Amino acid sequence: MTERQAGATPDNPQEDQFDAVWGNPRGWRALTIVNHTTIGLRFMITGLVFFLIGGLLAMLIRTQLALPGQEVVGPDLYNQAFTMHGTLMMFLFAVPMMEGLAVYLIPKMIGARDLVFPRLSSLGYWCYLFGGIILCSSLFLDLAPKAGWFMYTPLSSAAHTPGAHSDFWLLGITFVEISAVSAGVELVVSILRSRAPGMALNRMPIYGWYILVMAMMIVVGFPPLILGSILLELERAAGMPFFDPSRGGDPVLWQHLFWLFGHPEVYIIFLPAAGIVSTLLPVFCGRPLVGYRWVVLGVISTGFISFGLWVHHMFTVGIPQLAQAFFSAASMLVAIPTAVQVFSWLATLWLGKPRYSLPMLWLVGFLLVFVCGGLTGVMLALVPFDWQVHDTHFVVAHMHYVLVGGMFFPLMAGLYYWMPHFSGRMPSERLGRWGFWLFFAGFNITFLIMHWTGLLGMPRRIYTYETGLGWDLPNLISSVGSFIMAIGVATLLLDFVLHFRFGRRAAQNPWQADTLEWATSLPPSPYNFASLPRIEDRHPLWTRPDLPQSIARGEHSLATADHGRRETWGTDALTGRPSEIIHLPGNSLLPFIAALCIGVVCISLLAKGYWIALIATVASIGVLLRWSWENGAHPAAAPDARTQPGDLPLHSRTCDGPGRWGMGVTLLANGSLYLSMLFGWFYLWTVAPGGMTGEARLQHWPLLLGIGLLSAAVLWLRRCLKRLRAGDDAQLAGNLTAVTGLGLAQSALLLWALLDAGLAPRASAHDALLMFAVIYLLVHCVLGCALLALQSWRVRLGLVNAECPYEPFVVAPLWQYNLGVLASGYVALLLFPLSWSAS
Amino acid sequence: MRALLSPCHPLQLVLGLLLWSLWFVLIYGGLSVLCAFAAPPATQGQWTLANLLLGASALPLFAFSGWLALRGWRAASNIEQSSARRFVALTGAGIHVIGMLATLFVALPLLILPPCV
Repeated sequence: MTERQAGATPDNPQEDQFDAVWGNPRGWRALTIVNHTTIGLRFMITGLVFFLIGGLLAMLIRTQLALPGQEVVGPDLYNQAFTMHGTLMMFLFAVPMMEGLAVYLIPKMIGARDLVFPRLSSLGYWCYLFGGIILCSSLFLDLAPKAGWFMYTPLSSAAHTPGAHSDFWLLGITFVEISAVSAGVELVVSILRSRAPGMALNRMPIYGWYILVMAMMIVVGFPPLILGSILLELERAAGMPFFDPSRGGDPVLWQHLFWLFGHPEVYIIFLPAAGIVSTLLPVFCGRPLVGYRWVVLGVISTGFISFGLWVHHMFTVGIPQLAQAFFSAASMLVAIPTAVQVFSWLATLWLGKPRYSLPMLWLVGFLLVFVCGGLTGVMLALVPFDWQVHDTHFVVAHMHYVLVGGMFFPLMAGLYYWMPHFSGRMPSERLGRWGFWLFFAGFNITFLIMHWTGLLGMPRRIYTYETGLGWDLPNLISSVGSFIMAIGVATLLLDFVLHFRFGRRAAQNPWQADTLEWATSLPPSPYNFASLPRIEDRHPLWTRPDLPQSIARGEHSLATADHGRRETWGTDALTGRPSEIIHLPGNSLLPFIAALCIGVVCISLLAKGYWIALIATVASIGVLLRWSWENGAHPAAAPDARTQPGDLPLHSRTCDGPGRWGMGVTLLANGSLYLSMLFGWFYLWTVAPGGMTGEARLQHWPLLLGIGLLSAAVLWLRRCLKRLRAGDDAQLAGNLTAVTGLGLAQSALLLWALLDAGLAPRASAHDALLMFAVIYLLVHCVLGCALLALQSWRVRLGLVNAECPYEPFVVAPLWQYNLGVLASGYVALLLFPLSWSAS
Repeated sequence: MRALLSPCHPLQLVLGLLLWSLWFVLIYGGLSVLCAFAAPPATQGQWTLANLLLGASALPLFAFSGWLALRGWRAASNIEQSSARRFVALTGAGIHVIGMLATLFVALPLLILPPCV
């Protein structure tokens, strides 16, 4: 039983076809849904729940600090409360909420029927949900993390935080990060490869640019923290001393890895919110955004420069002044592309005729609050000022102005704006305005005052304070403000809930918007569009207001579903010229089962049940390989592979479908993790060379021989693919098996080198990092072999051949990557220390 | 490969700041290594070999980015190109100019501060 499209008529055979192919099941089968609309909504609703939990913790904090010398909560519980508040808001609310909104909107805005990897969306959601539940469960076990949301070592290490507190954070957040990175990969590929025909890059909705940059930032920015979390968990659980200076490690390495992620994270949250602003302002001003190209320049520049700021969180740890000045300069620099966007918004307001509807109110609030937050950010970029207010409530106030101003206000504008999309109904203007003013007033009362509290010297993270220090009144005012803000949130929630019942029905395109998401029915069907139009400009609904009707009548392309496939266009990344038909997988329980298995791994590690963790890991790998099996020419992926004469081929019948792009972007994330690991290696050599001179060494010859074998394998594979591309699949299975054999031989050599080295990973950071690096290489090489062996098997079963050549082209980049990391790893891990010893 | 290097290839949208990022890591890493092993005395002020080397590294990047920006500007002026390609060429040129300015701005402290204090 599936849901019918809203507004579908029972006698429309086209809609019946589409419903049969795309419909969402109900009951327990709803676990199998992979459709982006449902997944996006699930992300946002779950994010809202975590926001409310984080908000309750914030109220607890403000209650405690309202008066001096209070004992509402003790220091231990207070530590847990502020750690979990920050963690929940950053990792479980802000990022997933923005990703959820993007997952919901992007296909609709770019004229596609779904994201290109729907099962990955589903896996991402389940990982997010399970990771969030595991993390939040720690609150009820009195085992919540309590070392601050950035988990600085040595405070978070086993010696200073015994018990599972930090483990909950490290494992839970890493679990949630699988979700973030998977959504990042699929948003990048979807935006680049599945836009509507004719939608060249210069015609893409501006929100698409913001999400493209955000997703790339997630792909590159999250892996350093994933690496840091794995290393810290290994230190806590297995005694590998990556951050212990007595054994050659360094606690500042954690700070580097955390902030390599942490500062871009601020922009990962801000950019999609700014994308909402750039989308909504033109609609409510009735004119295009001023300076589209300038805004694109600003967004790309922000994305890059934000990676050059991480050390500005570490100005007080003892870094040379010149190095601080580099980061101080970059911190000031990033204000410029942000200012370009602000001026573009102001110019759009100036030249347009603004309508001050409810979403617009939040946008104006955003401009005021965010500009204030940005200005205090420039103040903090100045090293001497930063030294003065470091770790005070000034920083807390600045951070909330940037994050709440830069994320929450635009988010609320967006939620009100797209509310008719979610429910088919309009919000209440009156209740909505009450909610806005209560929140706006409460927020500023809380955090404007907090700047002064900080300037008066009150440190952050203290659970109470003595009277007479001048902090009593500002703290009381902040606490009163926070409760007003909470009443504002309650009013907004009430409005959201009530509008589902009492909101008036939304007309088609109720805000007179220009972007394609308003060409769907309200609420939209799972397939978004009954036919896919050609897009010739940036404002399709302004230039062609009849598009919603002509799309629904099936007057555009891919207007049939009688083949039983879920289809959308695969288009050229630059021009938007159609190049293939992407056939998307249908509903599947595999992502849910995979996430469940990973969840068992996580819980087992927390409970130190390592055998169960191992079994669950093997089960996860099995499920994921089964998932990969149902691809390409497999009947489950394309039940009917026939196309109309003259139609473009299905992507599985080409050599360059979205999977290849997905592999490329995934390897970019993987490369970021690898480079972070090399950074750690070189960093420890620089700061603690004494600890990096262990006796244990890998032998050169197995690695050199391995590089030779892998080079031969990569060349052989390349030759096979060249022939396959030319339509020659003779002896393909045998060749792939032989290449796999070479890879296995190389992996065996690597394993031998590791076992032979006699490393003592608990005794020194050198050996620990060396072992970690070699295991990283080994896992990748074995994975490459496993995937290629499966391809060889698929060739024998007739699932890969000259007609369906796609999948080996997806696997090949992994082999090239493996060769690259093995060769560079040899240079970094074996040759570099030799030069060091010689010097 | 030739297509990748075209001023109209989408790679140009990231190349300018990618080069800047690599240079940024290079000067930060280079400074750390220099200070760890060959730290000049603080009394020498900012006129040290370290400052000179790090500052000199900015010049080729500045010049190369300028050349790429000029190339993009010229490609964007070619009206025979499609609007998408011209958009990419001109936006890419803008990114290269931003890379140039960012290089100069971040290198400025080399004229003012000693390296390892």
